[in-house]
Amino acid sequence: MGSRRNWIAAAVLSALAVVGVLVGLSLGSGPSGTGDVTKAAREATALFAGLPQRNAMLGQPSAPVTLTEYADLQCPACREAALERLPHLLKRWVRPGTVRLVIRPLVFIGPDSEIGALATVAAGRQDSAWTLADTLYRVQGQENSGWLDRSVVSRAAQALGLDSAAFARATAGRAARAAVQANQRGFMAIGANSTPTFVARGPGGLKGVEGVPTDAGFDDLVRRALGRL
Amino acid sequence: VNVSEPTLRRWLAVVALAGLAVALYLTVDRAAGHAPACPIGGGCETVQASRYAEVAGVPVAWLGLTGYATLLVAALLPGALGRALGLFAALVGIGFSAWLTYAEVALIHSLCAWCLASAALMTVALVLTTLRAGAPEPAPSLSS
Repeated sequence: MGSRRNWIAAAVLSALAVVGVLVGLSLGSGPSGTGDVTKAAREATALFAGLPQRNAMLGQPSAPVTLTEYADLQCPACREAALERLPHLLKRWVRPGTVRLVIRPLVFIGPDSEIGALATVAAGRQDSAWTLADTLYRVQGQENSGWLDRSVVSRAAQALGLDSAAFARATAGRAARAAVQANQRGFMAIGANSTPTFVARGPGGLKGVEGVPTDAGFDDLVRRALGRL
Repeated sequence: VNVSEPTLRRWLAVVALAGLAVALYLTVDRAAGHAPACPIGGGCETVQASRYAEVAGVPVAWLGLTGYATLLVAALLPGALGRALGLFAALVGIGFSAWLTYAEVALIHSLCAWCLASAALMTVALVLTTLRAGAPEPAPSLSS
């Protein structure tokens, strides 16, 4: 009887130890903390508060200038454009209704970029493409380091209050893949070869710029598209 | 409860095989990049895509495979070793299942029917292995 008590105790104690380790690892895994994503989602939501979003578009649908950004969520320059330049662009041109923005996510930096591009398109189905992309820029890691994965995009979608099941379905769906492929073709068709690339279309015609312009550079681009320069 | 040890071992083997089937389905589905078909509710994709679907890079479905395989071995092993191994595997299984179910409810806000099925199987396995741990030793064989 003594030996039975011994092996039962051994089984219980070792099971407790193993469960402790598993739960600890489960909590600790994941490339970035959930807290970061939640905070990023809050900041992104605040940035776009009050602006209409529809599919890939941000701003008044009637705006005379459409500024399209070809972007890769893994690209540091795209992050810079979003975090450093976008606030000016929104304040000066988008909120007053002169410019509407369109995001065209690409697979440019590496294979991990694909899930980011698909997720951005999928978030567009819930009119949150810009908010999702902005959230992910705020938690961006090193290029191709694995930070951009299914887990981080689903956490971002969740933090933004998107319908998780519909988002997961749309991310995995054929329509999102086709949309990303169309973006790739559009990007090649304009002869661009770096991200981000901005293309402004307005009464003044089609004007493009590769890389991240300064605030004044963006102002020039918009004025040229308006035909005022 | 008065159930003989051979009966408990047979039932444990049945539960282990059912668990292996669930874990195998989830493993294959994940490897193929599909979202699992969700028989009840719709949270399987969300749960499988969450950070809690992996432990230090190892898919949880693999852990399930390992756990149920261990239970199957325990069911086949006679004597104290089989009893101890079965109790150990079922306790780890139930402990980790409890954590995952908590994560589904409180952290992911989605329930995955396959994961809950596995948690239910683990609960049955724990009952069986506990009964087996307390069951009388089989009478020594006379033929040896």
